[in-house]
This record gives sequence, C-alpha cells and structure tokens, in this order.
Amino acid sequence: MTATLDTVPSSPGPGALGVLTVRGLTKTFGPVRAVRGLDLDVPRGSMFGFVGPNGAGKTTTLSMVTGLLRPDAGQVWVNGVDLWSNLTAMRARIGVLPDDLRLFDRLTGQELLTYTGMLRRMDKAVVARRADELLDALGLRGDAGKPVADYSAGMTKKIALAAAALHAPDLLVLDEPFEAIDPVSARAIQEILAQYAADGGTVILSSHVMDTVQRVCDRVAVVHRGQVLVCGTLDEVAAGQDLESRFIELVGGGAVPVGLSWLRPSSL
Amino acid sequence: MVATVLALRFRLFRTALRRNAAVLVAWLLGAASLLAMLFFVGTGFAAVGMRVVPDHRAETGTWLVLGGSLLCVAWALLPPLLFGLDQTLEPARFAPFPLRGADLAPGLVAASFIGLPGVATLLAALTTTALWLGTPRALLPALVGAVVGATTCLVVGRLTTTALAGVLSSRRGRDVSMVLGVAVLGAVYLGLVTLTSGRVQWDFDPAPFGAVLRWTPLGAPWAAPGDAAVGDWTGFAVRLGLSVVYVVVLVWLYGRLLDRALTAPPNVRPRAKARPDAVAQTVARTGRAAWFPALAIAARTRRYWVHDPRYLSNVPVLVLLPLFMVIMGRSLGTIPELPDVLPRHIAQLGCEAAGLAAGLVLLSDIGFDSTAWWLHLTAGVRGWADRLGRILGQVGWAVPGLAGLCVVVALAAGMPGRSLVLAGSTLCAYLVALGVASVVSAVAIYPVALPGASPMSSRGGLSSLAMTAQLAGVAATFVLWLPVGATAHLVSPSWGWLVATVGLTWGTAVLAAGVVVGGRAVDARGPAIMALLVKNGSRTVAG
Repeated sequence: MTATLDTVPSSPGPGALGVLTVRGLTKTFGPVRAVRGLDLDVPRGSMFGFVGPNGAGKTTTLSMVTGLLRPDAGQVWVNGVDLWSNLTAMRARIGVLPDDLRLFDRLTGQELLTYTGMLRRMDKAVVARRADELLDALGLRGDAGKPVADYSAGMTKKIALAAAALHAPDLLVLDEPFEAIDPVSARAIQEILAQYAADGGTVILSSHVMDTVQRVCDRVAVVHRGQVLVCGTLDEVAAGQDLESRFIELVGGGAVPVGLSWLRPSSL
Repeated sequence: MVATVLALRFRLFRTALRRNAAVLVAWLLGAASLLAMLFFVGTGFAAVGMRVVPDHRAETGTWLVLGGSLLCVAWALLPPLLFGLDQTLEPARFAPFPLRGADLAPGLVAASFIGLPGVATLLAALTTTALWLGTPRALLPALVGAVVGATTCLVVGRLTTTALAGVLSSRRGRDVSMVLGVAVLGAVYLGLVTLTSGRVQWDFDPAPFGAVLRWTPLGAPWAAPGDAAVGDWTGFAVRLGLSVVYVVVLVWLYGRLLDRALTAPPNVRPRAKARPDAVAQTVARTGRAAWFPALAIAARTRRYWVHDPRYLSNVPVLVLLPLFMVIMGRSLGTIPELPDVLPRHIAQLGCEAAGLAAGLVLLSDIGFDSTAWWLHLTAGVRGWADRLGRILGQVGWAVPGLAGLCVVVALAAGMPGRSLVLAGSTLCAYLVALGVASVVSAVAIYPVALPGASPMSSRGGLSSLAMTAQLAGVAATFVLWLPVGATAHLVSPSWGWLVATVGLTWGTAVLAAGVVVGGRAVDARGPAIMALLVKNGSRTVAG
C-alpha cells in the first residue's frame, strides 16, 4: 500500500534536503498514535498539498514541523537545520496558520498584525506598510478597526493568514487555509500564495477539498493513520485519475452505504 | 412537553455531576451549606413564629411581603447579569425543533426548579411558613403562598433572561453584564455586612411599601398568610387569586418571548466604531527592537484589563475587600475586651490583601490567553518579554489605583497619618506578588474561564493544580513580603517614607527576579505550556 514515489535517501544529510524534511516523526496522545513514523520532503518553491481524512494526523504533523508541539520521536529539518535543536532561530523562517487555535481577539485586526510584527521585533515602518497591503489584498480594510472577536469565521482565517505571512518567511505552513473562506477571497489568497511560491517561497497547506488542492498545489502528500501513503507531484499522486477519486481509493473509502432506505421525503 | 423538558434537564444535571468528581464535591458542599443555612433560618423563623407573631401579625405579614418581593427582584436581576453560568436549557437550543413557545414555557419554568438555585428558593420560601407556627389558620395559606411565590421568582428569572437575550447576545453587552453581576453581588454582600454589624441605626416603616407591593406580582403571593392571620379573608382570596393569575400571565408572556427567541434568535452585531491601533501607539515610544515584544504585550494587557470581563471583574472585588475589612475592624473595635489597635491592623491587612490579590491575578494570565498563546510561541518571544509585558500592562494604573485605595482606607479607618505606611506595604505586596506569579504561572498551567466565557464559570476552579498554584503563590508572596509587612504594622506613622522606599525597592527587586526566573521557565517549557493550553482550551474539558 505504501508507495513513496519520491526516492528518499535512507539517512539524509541535511545539505541534500529541500526546505522541509521530516524523518520518522512520531506522536502519541495516550492510547492514540496520532503520527506514526512519518516521512516528508518538501522542495523549495513548491505549493505542497497535505491531504488526508479526518483524524489522519495532519494538524498534529503540522504542529510538530512548526515548533508548536514537541515530537515523541523523529526529526525535522528546515533549510537543512534541525528545527527542534534551533527553535528560536528557526522560528523567524517559518510562518504558521494554525487551525482551531484562538487569536487574541480583543485586539482589532489591524492591532493583531502590528502585535504580530512587534512580537517578531520587525521594523515598525515595515510592519505598518505590510499590514496595510495585506489588509487591502485580503479585503479586510473596512474591518481593520474592529475587534477580531466580532469577525466572521472567514475573516478570522484571513487575518490569521495575514499574521502568518507578515514577516515574509521561507516556509508558510497553513492548516486548512481555505476553510470558511468565500470564493472571491479564496482566489485572492491563491494568487498571493502562487506569487510567493514563484518568488522562491514554499507553502504547505492542508485541506479536505481535493478540487482546491488540485488547482492550487503542484505537489501532494496523502496522509492516512499517521503515515504518508503517497507523496509526489500532483500527476504522480493522481496517477491518471482526478485527485478526489484517487484519494478515496488510497484511504480505502468508497464503500456505498447500505440501508437508510427510509431516507426520502415522506408524509411524516 | 413539561415532562420531556424536565427529563432532559434532569439528565443533563446528572451527567454534569457524574462527569467530574470535583463538580460533584462542589455541588454536595453547596447543598450541605444550603441545608445548614436553611435549618438556621427556619429555626429562627420558628422561634419568631411561636412567640412574637401572635401580637404582631400585620407587621410580620408586611415584612414577609417585603422580603418576598426582594427575593423576586433578585431573581429578576441576577440570572441575566450572571448570564452564561448555566445555558444548558437556553431557548435558542430548542430552535431546530417544531415547538411553540407556549409548549415550552411551562416546561422550562418547571425545569428551573431542578438545580441548587431553584431548590434553594423553594425551600427558603417554605421555611417562611415557620413564621406562622403561632397562628395556625395562616399555616396553610403560608404554604400555598410560598409555593406560588417561589414559582413567580423562577418565572421572572426566566422572563428577564430571555427578554434581555438580545442585549446579552452582543459581546459587549455580555461583558458589561458579567462585571455588573460581580459588582452587584459584592455591593449586596457589603451592604448586608454593614447592616448586620450593628453600625447603622435606621428607622424604617415597612407598612406603605407593603401596602403597594402586595398588589404587584412581586408581593401578592407573600401577602396570603398575613391576610389570613389578621382575618382579612376577602383580601386573602383576592390577592392569592391575583397571584395565581400573575403567574399564568407571566408564563404566557414568557411563551410569547420564547416564540420570538425561537424564530429569530438574537443576533446583534453592534457596529463598533473603529479603534486606533493601541499596540502601535505603545510601541512607538521606543526605537529599540528588543523592547518591542514587551511593549506590544503591555498594550494588549491593557486592552484585556478593560475589555475582558475575566480581568475587569477582579476590580470591584479588589476595591470592596479592604472596605469590608475596615467595617469589620470597626465593629470589632466596639468590643472592649479586644486591643484597641486591632481595627487599625485589620484595615491595613485589607489593603495588603488587595495588593497581593491584584498581583496574583497574573497567575491565570497565560491561561486567560488560552490557545491564542501560539502567537507568542511561534513568534519566538523571549520568556522575559512575555512576563514583563504582562506586568507593564497593569502597573501603570494598578500602582496609583492601589495607592489611592490605601489613602481612602486610611481615611475611612480614621488614621490618615498612616496612609504612606499603608501604601508602601500594599505596593510591596503587589510587586512581590507579580514577581512570584511570573514564576508560578510559567510552571502551573491550570484550567480557567475560557475567552468569552463568564468570569464566574467555575471551570476547574476546584482543580487541585489551580488550588496548589494559588496556595503556592499566596504563601511565597507572604513570606517574601513579611519583612516589609511586619515592619509596616509595627512602626509609627512617621516612618512612612522609609516603609514606602524600602517596600517599593524590595518589591521591584523581587519582581525583576521573578521576570528573569519565570522568563527562563517559559523559554524552556514553551511547547509544553502550549500542549497544556490546548488540553485546557478544548470546550469539552470540565475541571
């Protein structure tokens, strides 16, 4: 079943690696083995789709490659540098959009961006200029002075995305960036990300929506039960099918539900 | 429908108690103290009822009307103010079902009786029957009146909560109501203590109030035994009938309100006017990048103290605590056997305790951030900056505020000359507490009220980690403050400047040490802290 299409050196020397390399990543929560010896290689400049069914270990993996969650075992290299031994230095290279974590939502959208920039000790003028441009690009200009607590789910996602990109990192790790986002904003974000990747930036994004991944990403890894099933370019992974069919085939879904014969309009 | 809602309420109640031993223990403690209280009150009523009432029937009846009305007002005000404490049967949750308000209203009212507040109200109402032990013909009317009265209370509570749901569904409205709720409770407590301490003499004629209130929904049910006792059987029948009509009308009104709540759930989004960037304004004061994180965190801390009820609700408590101690000291001062310096020491201790408590709010600070703290972690904020920023955000106004409080207390306690001694010792306690909390809060991450939740939601308030952390914080602060504090209690007022200078210097030194040590702990434990915040931050975790 496991078919790693990329040829991976068995003991990688950091120099030979892309922007992100993961080997043997493992995390257990009590009885749940969320991530089980996961390997991953993300080349520089790629738009990398990280897909998998609910509970596959996507968020756990992304937390461990961004320094939010310490792995039980395994290693993570960013730019060839061991992340967990050089956390403080490497944090400046990574931008994170976590899923399901809160924001300081009593700050306004504008303040949240300034706050993020100041926490990263960026130049004040640079922060102000970039925050302005990001607010315009993401269509948040009109709501910049409102508390984030009053934002809709999509607006919250967008302001968090702006905060992740503010310091122009080498690697953007985005957990479900398109969830709850309207099509217009989604297209704007896709263009921003494509430009960023064309300029040498690297994006990893997780998603449930295969159509989005197929349109946005050039490389894909399919995760299931805490391991990577397939990893490679979009065409390699899709193997001649559309991504969604291939995905369902890989994770063993597709069983047609039986029963539920009562589920039709009735008089009751 | 009544049976269905009651069964649902009962099941929810049982599940809540079963899920967590701490909740069960807290509930049992609450129930036990409630029963004890009712026992004493009931005994008191019985004593009054056996001896006094036969000669003062009309007056007792009037007082009962007043007391019952007050209880009803409390039920009208407190549930909406403490909104968010128990939303298990919030009307909006029934919106998906094909139900009319009229179907639901009686059930929801009946369900209010399940749970400590409902049972307490019913039992408290029933104990008033004991007032009429010496007047047998009023006993049955008292019993009926008590049941109708308690029901009125619960209906009114439901009614105001649903009526104000529109206001309360806005974030700002909720914030204000939560802080108001804490302030009202504190003020009522203070008022009760003042009245019962015997310091205030008052002449109050209840008769005119009783004459009006007995015709209103608030007082009508409670008038029944008084009417029966004096033999006014016409008045008895009219007012008791009226009280039942009132209940029916109120339930009907509640049903109408429910219809509105079910079909158009309140969804008020106030157009807040745009705020200027407070973070940028604060950070603009320096050009040194090393200070940016601490200053930004200070700006955010200020915003949270003003806008987040979990912080703001501490303020009324901190102000009322020393004033309460002054009153307690004064009433103890009237006892000749006690040393006459006792009131002075008690008043001073009140201030010092407020300083300590104000500083120890910082213990919950990372917990209050909840999972939003990921931003600090991924931005690589140094631990000292995280610690220092939270402190800088509050000392600016807390130090003058506490100093002012000390002056007020010194004046109230009749010792204006000791103002400086009081302020020196209190500020020392505050600064030391900040330093201690900087360390303890980096090590102990315990569950607190989540962002947006009521500050009174006792989520994990009883968890052993929270208790240990708070005990450790109090103990360490006390020990480190004791040299200054003991001196401040013993010296004459002329030593004020010395106490203030030494207190501030020592306090600042402990604070600085706390920032450094706590900062290192945060640096070392970053991802571990994050893991705990994620665990505590999930909405399903209780206690």
